[in-house]
Amino acid sequence: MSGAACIFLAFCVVLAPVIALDTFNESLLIKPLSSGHVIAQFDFVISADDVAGPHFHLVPRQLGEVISHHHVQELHLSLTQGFWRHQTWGYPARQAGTGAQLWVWFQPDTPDVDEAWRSLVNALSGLFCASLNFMDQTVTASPSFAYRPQGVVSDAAQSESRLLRTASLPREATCTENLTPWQKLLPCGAKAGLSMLLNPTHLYSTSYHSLSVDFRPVCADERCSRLGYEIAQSVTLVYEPVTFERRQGPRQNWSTKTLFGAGLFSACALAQHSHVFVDTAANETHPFVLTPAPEGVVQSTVAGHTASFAVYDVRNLTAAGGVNLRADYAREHRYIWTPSLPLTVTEYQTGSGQFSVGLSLQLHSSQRTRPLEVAVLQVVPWYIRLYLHTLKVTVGDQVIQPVYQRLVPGRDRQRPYTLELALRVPPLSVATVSVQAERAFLKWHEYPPDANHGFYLPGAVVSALLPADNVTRHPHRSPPVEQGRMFVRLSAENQLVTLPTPDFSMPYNVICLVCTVVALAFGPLHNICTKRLLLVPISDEKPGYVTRLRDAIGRLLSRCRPGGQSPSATAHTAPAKATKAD
Amino acid sequence: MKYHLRLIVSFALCILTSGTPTNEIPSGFFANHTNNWAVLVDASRFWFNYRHVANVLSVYRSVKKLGIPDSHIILMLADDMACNPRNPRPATVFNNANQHINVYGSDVEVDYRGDEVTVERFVRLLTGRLEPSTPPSKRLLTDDRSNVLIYMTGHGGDGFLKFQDAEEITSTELADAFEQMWQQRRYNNIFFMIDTCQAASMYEKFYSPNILAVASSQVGEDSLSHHLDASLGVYVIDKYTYHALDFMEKLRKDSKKSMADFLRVCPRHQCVSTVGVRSDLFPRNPADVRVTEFFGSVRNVERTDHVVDLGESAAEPAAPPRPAEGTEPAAAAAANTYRYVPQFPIMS
Repeated sequence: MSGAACIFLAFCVVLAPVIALDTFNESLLIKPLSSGHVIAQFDFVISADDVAGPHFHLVPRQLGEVISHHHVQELHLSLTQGFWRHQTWGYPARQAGTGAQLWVWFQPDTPDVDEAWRSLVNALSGLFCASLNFMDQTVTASPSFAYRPQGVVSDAAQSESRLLRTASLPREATCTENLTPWQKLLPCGAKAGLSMLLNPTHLYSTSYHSLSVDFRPVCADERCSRLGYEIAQSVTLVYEPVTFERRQGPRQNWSTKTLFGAGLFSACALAQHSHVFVDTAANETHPFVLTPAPEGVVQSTVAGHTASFAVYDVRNLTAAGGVNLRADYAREHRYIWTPSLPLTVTEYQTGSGQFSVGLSLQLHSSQRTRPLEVAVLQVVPWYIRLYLHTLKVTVGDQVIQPVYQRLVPGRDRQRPYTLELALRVPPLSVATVSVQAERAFLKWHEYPPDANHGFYLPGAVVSALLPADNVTRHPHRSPPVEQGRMFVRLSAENQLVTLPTPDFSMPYNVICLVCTVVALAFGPLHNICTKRLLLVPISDEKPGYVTRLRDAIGRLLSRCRPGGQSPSATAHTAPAKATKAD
Repeated sequence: MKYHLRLIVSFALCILTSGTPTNEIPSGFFANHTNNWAVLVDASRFWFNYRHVANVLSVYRSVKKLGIPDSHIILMLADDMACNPRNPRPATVFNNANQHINVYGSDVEVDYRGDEVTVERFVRLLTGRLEPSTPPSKRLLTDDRSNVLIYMTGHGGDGFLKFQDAEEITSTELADAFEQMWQQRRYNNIFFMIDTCQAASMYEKFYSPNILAVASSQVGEDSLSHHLDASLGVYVIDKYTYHALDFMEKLRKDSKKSMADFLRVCPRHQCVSTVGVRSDLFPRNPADVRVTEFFGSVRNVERTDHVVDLGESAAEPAAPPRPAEGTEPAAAAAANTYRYVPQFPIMS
């Protein structure tokens, strides 16, 4: 009997499919800033060997099936509300323009990339309860060097720009209905671990919040000979405790209860590691005390810059029950001067009137000796028709030539304008990229319901290699380092442009119509009723000498004769008008 | 002889009376639906129409509480109130100035939102004529045994309902959409509930069977809002939905209240407008129909002795192609290694 059982077990072990298990790590990074803000970033990372199924362990099945069905190689989606103010908060760990932003690399063997993109955005719109189905060909671009694959590739064919599609919807709102399905993709859902801290009423009261999903292939081992996959879901939040938490005066005191509405209760049981990191960079200028005391300090040196983080292991921390992680500041917050960032970016529109408009992107470089190399991507919807011949890059009065540019003109109702520039900003100067455009007059059914609100233009996406000092980075996951500096991507402000809009309001149209009818009908009617027209025949020829003599004699005689004028006299009077009857 | 006669008479009586069962068939037994769906539509945009969003979310909340899952609810909100910059309490929508209940909640799934809520999409949703790439969460996957609750709110007039302040759906279009649903057998019973001004005009044109309709006001009357929340500056709920919600908050899944009780909600002295009902297309007496047949997900279990042959269990489907390169993994690993590409273009 036992022999048969042994053989049976051996049979099972030998023939059972080897299912590699996925790993899941969750972490919370809290970074107080010297400006009085607090950045909180949740990272939920699933590493797997396979996302195509049919067996799913921690990889969410909805996402895995969408990815494999649509031949997706890499997917990056963000839903953001608020604008990342890099002048105050430094550079973000992950660039996310306001609204919805999606960029996807497809497999080289995808039969029809446009069809796969269309079908993918519809599937994602159902998955995340967002109107991503509006990312159609009129807002989709395919840039050549502004976006590169963030995952591993095995040959150059996988990074051809024909496989890349990117689109953004600047007007898309983010609310609890996006958080709900996003949380359901996590291994522990909203029930355990750090995702319990994602409380909508606290999340959406922030100055900035961004929900993102990043899928990419990665190296599964050190030598990078095996392929693995990574699904990273992250939430980035920026709070302003100095302004909004004023119980002890304007202090930057923060705690998990004030930030998230709850303390830490548990770690996700499916997580391999569950940590809270607190970036202590601002401790030098604005010292704070953490309660409970951290378990240790982690140093992370990337691109020559060392950042130190206080570490908590959530399992150890919550072993005895719920914990409220607090930071107390000894004195009131003082606003200090901070040195300017190596690169700041701002975008604005110029022009006036209902026809012409201009877009200007300013790049400020505060580097002292070397020019700063910058890559710019600007996608403009077709209804702002750019005059590409007016595109120029100026530094002061001087026009500089970009190192490389790729301009894809838009086509009405078919594709947007894509401008990609690679340029060098001279040291300590401001480069302005400007272009003039005209506003289109849309067909009446193309206006959105709230047409007078205006139309949003997505902001430019600017990439550069910058020193790592000012970047919000995670101790274990940081942006790539190239040429000794850190790769940083920024978004500029979205622009709100008004197009000439007909007045769709009913009362105005009724008034116009009625007034027109009244003017057309009433005027002539009044004239006909109150005036009488007398037609007086006139002759243009000057009467001859003999005729004039005859008329003069006739007038003389008629004065002598009592009664009316002779009829012939009236025929030759000087140009007579239609006289008014009295 | 007399004894034999009595025996025969009593025996005959027994035979005659044995045909009829002694206990009553419960009225709920005649419910013949197997699944419940709800289509909840708010057709109004702008902050001052906050109450329409609160109306719809109140019904959404009640319907979820009584058991209809999110996968069977199509929620259409034409504007975002919860995360609207004008909302002093983000991620909340209240239907009461006392702010007892956040009807938006923390577990909400909105299927159509913002500019997606149009007349065309609504009619396509009802009739099922959607693009092939539409995801299942945005489809009305009803069958001939589905009871569908359709709730609409917004601004309306005599014979139309305004969508997004830009277009309108007429009562004829709605009636035709329902007829298409009937011909495709996409519903078993429909309960149509509408809370707008002159709402009764919307159901006057229906001509398909198995529809029960209630409207918050008659033609020529306005539906009024209930009360104002001074901290928000807008009205937070309409009178009819407020009282209907009051009725539904007291329900549980095993509640025996009938549709007739629901149709009596909000009499004239409470609602100021007269609630209208259209029941001539509905085959059953509303007093015999439970509220949970439309608002909840309570179904009858039919016992059967019929054996259904499911066929052989389907073989495990072939795994779809892995999202790696097209070659086999072993060959790829042997052929080339993987590398990260530089993110920043090289400018030289």
